[in-house]
Amino acid sequence: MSPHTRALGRAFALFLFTLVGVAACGTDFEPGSRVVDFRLLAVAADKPFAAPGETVRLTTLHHEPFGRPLTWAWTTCPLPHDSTVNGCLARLAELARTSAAPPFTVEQGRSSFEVTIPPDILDGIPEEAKGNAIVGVVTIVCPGNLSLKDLADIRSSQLPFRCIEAGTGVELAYERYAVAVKRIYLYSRDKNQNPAIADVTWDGASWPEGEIKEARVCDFDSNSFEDCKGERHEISVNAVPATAETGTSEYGTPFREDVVIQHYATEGVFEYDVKTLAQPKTRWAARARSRGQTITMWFVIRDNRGGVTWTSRQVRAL
Amino acid sequence: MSPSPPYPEMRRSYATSRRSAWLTPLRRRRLSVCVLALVLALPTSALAQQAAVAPPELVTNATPEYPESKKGSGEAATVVLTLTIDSEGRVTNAAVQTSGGEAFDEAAVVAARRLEFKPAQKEGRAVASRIPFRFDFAVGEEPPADTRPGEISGSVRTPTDAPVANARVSVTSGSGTRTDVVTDEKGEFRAPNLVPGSYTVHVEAEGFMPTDMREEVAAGEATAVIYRPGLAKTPPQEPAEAMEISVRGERPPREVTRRVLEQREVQKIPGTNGDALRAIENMPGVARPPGSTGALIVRGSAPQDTGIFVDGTQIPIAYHFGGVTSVIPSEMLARIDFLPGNFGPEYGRAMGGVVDIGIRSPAKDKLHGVFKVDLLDARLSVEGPLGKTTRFLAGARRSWVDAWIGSALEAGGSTTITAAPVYYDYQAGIEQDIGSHTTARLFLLGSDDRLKIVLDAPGSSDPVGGAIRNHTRFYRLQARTETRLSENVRWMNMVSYGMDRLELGVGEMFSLDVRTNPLTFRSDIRAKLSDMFTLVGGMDAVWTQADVRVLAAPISDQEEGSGPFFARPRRLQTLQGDIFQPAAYAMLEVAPVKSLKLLPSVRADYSSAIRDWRVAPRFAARYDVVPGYPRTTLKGGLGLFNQPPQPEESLRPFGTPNLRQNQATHASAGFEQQLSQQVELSVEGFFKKLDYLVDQSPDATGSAGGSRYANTGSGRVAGGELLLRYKPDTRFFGWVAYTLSRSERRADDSEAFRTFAYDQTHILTALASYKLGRGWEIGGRFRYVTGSPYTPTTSALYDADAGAYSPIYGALYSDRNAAFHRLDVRVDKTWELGVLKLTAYLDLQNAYFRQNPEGRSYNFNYSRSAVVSGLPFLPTLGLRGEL
Repeated sequence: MSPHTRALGRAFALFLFTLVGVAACGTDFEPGSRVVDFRLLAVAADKPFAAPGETVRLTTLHHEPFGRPLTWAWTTCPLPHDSTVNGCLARLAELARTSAAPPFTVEQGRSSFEVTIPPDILDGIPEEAKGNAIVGVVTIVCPGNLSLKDLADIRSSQLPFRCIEAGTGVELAYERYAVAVKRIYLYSRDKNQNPAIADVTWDGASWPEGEIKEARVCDFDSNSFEDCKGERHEISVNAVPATAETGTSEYGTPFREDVVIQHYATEGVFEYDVKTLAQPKTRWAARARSRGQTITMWFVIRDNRGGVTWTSRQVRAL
Repeated sequence: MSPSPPYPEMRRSYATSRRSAWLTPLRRRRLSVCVLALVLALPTSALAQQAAVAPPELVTNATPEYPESKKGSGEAATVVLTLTIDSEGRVTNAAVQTSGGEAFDEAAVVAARRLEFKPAQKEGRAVASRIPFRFDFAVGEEPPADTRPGEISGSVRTPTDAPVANARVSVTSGSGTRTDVVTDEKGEFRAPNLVPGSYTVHVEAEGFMPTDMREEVAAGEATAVIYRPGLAKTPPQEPAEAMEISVRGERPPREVTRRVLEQREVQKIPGTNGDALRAIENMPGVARPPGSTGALIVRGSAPQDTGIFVDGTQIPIAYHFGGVTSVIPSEMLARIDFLPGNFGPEYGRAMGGVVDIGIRSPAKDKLHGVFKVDLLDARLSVEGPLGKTTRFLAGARRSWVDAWIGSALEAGGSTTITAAPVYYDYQAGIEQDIGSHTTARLFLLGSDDRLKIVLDAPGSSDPVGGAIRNHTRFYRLQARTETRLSENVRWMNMVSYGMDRLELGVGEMFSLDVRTNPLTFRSDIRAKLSDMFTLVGGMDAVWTQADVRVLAAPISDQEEGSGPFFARPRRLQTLQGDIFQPAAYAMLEVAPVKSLKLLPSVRADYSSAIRDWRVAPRFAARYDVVPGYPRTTLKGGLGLFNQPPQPEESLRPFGTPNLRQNQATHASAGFEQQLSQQVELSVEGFFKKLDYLVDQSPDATGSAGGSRYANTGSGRVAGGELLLRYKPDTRFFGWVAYTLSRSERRADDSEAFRTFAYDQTHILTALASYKLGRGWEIGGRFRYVTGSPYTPTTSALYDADAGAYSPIYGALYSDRNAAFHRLDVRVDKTWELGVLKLTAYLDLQNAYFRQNPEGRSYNFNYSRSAVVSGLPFLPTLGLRGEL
C-alpha cells in the first residue's frame, strides 16, 4: 500500500466522517426535500447517452411557488477536464478565455433545450480516454431578470451570474435561483433508458396521478419525523423491474445501475428523503402548520448513468 | 549473548561470578579456557520467593583442564552444570545440565569441585543454594609475549563529582569476553586480571545515561579512569518497568544524547491508552491530525511524507482505525526512533519525518506473558527461551468494538447506520544466536482493519446507496541478522517480503482495490575506524509489484471534495506493474574532539518508474559546549531528502512517466540545556523548502486515468520547537512540548503560497503523572492546538444527475476551525500478586466535555453550515496483567 493509497484511505475516512456527521446533524437543517422557494428538481435528457451527431432534448422539473416569471439560460460545456459540475464551469471559463465566450440561449419561460452533439467531438481524444468524455449542459433559472458576467474574468469561487428578483429588484443569493449541470454521456453504441415508474402507493394502496389524498396533521412543527406521534403515511414509489440495467459498457466497464427515488414536498417531513429501488418504502407526516393546505409531492427516480424520470401527487392536510 | 539477570539481586551475583571467573585466566599454548558463570532463570515462583535472597558469590575460581583426548582437535565446547552449594559455600554436587560432550563434562565436573563460594544469604544468614554454572572451552590464540594481566580501576561520579554507588561497569574485550563489576559506596570499582588489549567499558547507573568508553589495558599496568555519565534518567525502576521504549528526537545516527520515554511514561500518558506509538503525538513537531484520522503530521509535512519503518522495513500504517491504537503492541517494542527531520542517510524515500520502530529481543530467562483488556480490544503476548540460544515471542490482538458499537450508535440516534468495525493484528518472531557474534531473527507481523457500514437509505447530499466498505491489511515477513565482525565493526542484513492491500467501496459507485507486494533488502555496515572516525555505509532496495483495480469517475482537482459521486461516469481501470527502487548511502562520523561530532553523509536513490537518480548530501553536527553538568549542547543539520512519486502518479494508465522525485531541503539548529538534574530544556528551529512536488490536474480527455501530473508544486515550512521535561523520579514525570510552525504550498510558481491543509500554528502539550503510593498513580494531559484549516464554500451548483448540490469553494484552506483543546485524565491502580502484576486503569479522554470541532456539515444547498464536533467524552476502562 503506497502512501497515496493511505491518503485515499484517509479521504475515505473523511468521507465517512462527513457522512456520519451529516447523518447525526442533518436534522438541524431544513430538509432538502421541503420545497418552499423556487427549485429546479430535475433535468432529464431523452437520450442520457448520445452518440456524436445526435440531438438530445432536455426537459425540466421545477417549482416556483410565488408565480414569478422565470428566465432561462442554456449552454453547453463540451469535454470538461473532469466530470464534476464545477469542472463544467471551469471549462466554460476556459472556453471564454481561449475563444469566443460560449453562447447562452436566454429566454423567458423556456424550460426545455435541444443540443446537437458535434459529430467530430471525439476526434483527437486518445482511445483509452474516450470513456471519460461528456458534454455538460448548463441550465440557469432565475425568478426575475438574469444577467451574465464575463466568464473569462470570473474567479472559480464565484458564480458568474446575477439574478434580480422580479417585483422587488433584489439580487437573489445563489440558493434562491438555480445553476445546474446535466451530463450527456458520449457513447458510440451504448444507450441508457430513463427509469420507468410502475406505480405509486399510499399506505399500501395504489395512488394514481390526479387522486388527492387526505392526511391529518401531526402535532409537531420540527424537522424530525420521529417527533410526529400521530398520523403517518407510507409512500412507495415503484419502478418497473427492468429499470436497473446491467451489463458491460462499450469501453469495457461492467455496470449495475443504482436506482434511487428522491422525495420532495411543499410541506411535511419524510422519514427518508431518498430510498432505493430495492427498498422503496418511506413514510411522511404533515406538520401542524400545513393544516388546510394542499401539498404537492414530487418523486424523482434516477439511475446512476444519467437517467431520470418523475411524477407528482397531491395531499390535502386536515 | 548472555541473558540479562531479571532482578537486581541476581544481576549483582551474575557480575561477581563473572569477574571471579577471570581471576586466574588460563595460559596454555594453542588453547585457553574461559570460565563463565551464568545465573539463569529460576522457575517463576522461585524467583518471586527468592527476591530477597542474595545468591552465592564465587570466591575461588577453578580452571578445568582441556581434555587430553580433545587436544589438537580444535574443538570448542560449553558445559553448564547445576551446582549445589551448602551453607558454607562448598560445592556438594555438580550435575551436568547442558552437555558439551563426555570428555568436557568430566573436566568441568572435576573443576567444579574446586570452586569455593560465599554462601547464599537469606535474611542475614547463610543458606544452601543451587545455581547454574557454565564452563566454556575454546581454542585460543598464541599467548602474547607479555601476558601479565592489567586492570581498569577508577570511579563513577556525578557531574557534580559526587560518587555513584552501585553503578554497573561492564568491561568487554575485543573477543567478546566480559567482566562485570559494581561500584562501591565511594563510587569506586576495579576490574582486575585483564588480558592486555582494547576494552569497551559500559557504565550504567540508575538516574544516569548509559555510557560507553574505550580503554587500553597494558600488561602489568592499571588503567585509572573516572567516568561521569550524563544525567538522563532515572529513579530506581521496578523490575517490570526495566524495559525502555525510546522515543528519540532528532539525532545523528550514532546519537550522543537522545530523548527517552521510559516504559512507565509510555504506559501512563493519559489519552494514549498506554500505547507507545501514540506517545509520539506528544512530542514537539507532531501536529494533531484533523478528524482523528490517525495520520502522522510531522513538522508541517503531508502524512504520506513520513515513513514508518519496523527495523528498516517500511509498513503502510502505524495505527488502526483513526489512530485508536497502533498496529504493534507496546510490549514488543525495544525503541521508537522518531526523527522529525534531518535524519541519517540510512532512511530514504521520505521527505517529511521518519518513525523507525525496533522490535526487541524475546526474553531469554523464562516464559513471560502480558494480557490487556479494555473497551476497545484485548491482546495477549507470550515470549521466552526455546533452549539456550533460541527464543521466541508471539502476540495477537482483536478489537471487540463491533460487539457494542451498533447498539451505542442506535442509542445515540444514528438509526440509519449499521456499523461493524473490526481490527486485529498479530506478531510472531524467533531469534537465534549463531555463534557468539551473530544473532538472526525471523519476524512476522500483520494487521487487518475492516469496516462495513450499511445505510438504511442513501444520503440526500449524495444519493449513493448500498454499503460503504473499507478493508485495510498488510503483513511483513522479515529475516534479519546482526553480526559483530570485530570489536569495531557491525554488519546488519535484512530481507523482507510482504503484502499491502486496500479495498474501498461505496455501493456500486466506487471501488478501489490496491494490492502491492514489496520485497525489501537492506545491508548496513558500521565500522569504527579510530577514535576520531566512524564509517556507516549500506544499501537498501525495494522492489514493489503493484496490482490496482479502480472503478471510479476520473479524479477531480477539488482538494476538499468534488461534489456528489452519484451519476458521474465510472471507468474500470487496472494497473499491473513493478517498480525497483535501489539506494546506497554512506556517512562518516567525525569526532575531532570529544565534545564535537560532525556527520557528513550522502544518499543516492533511483526509481525505475521514472528512471530518475537523485543524490542527496546531508550534514549534521552536535557540540557539547559544556560537556559536564549542567550540560549545554548545540546541534544542527542541513540536507536534501528525496521521495519518488507514487506508483499511480508515474505508472500508466494512471500516471505520467516523465516525472522526477519530490525534493525537500531540511535545515535545523538548536540547543539542549540541563536546568537541573531532573529538568532539561530543548529548543530547536527548523525550515523546510519543498521543491518539485508532484501536482495533479484533471485531464479527463487526455489520459485514461483522467489526470496529468507534473513536478510544478512547491512549499515551505518554518517553525520552532520547545521541550521542557521533568524526567521521571520515584513519583513524578511530566513535560511541556510546544511547537510554533507555518506550512505553505502552491501548485506552481504562478501562484502565491497558501496555507497547507495540515498547518497548525500552535501545538501545546502539557502532561504529568504522579505516584500517590499504594499502587495508585494519577496523571493528566492537556493539549491545545490551533484549529485545522478548511476551505470555505461560497456557493453551490445543482448536479442535475445526482439531484444534489455540489459546493463551490473559496480560497483553499483560507479559514480555520476553532482551536482544539482537551484534558485527558488517567488513574492507575497496580497490585503485585506474587508473579502477577495487575494494573487496572481508567483513561478518560476529554474530561471537561469540550466540543472540539472536527469538521463542518452543510444543509442540502450549502447555504448553511454547522460545526461537527468530535467525541465529547471517551472513558476507557482497562486491565493489564504481566507475568
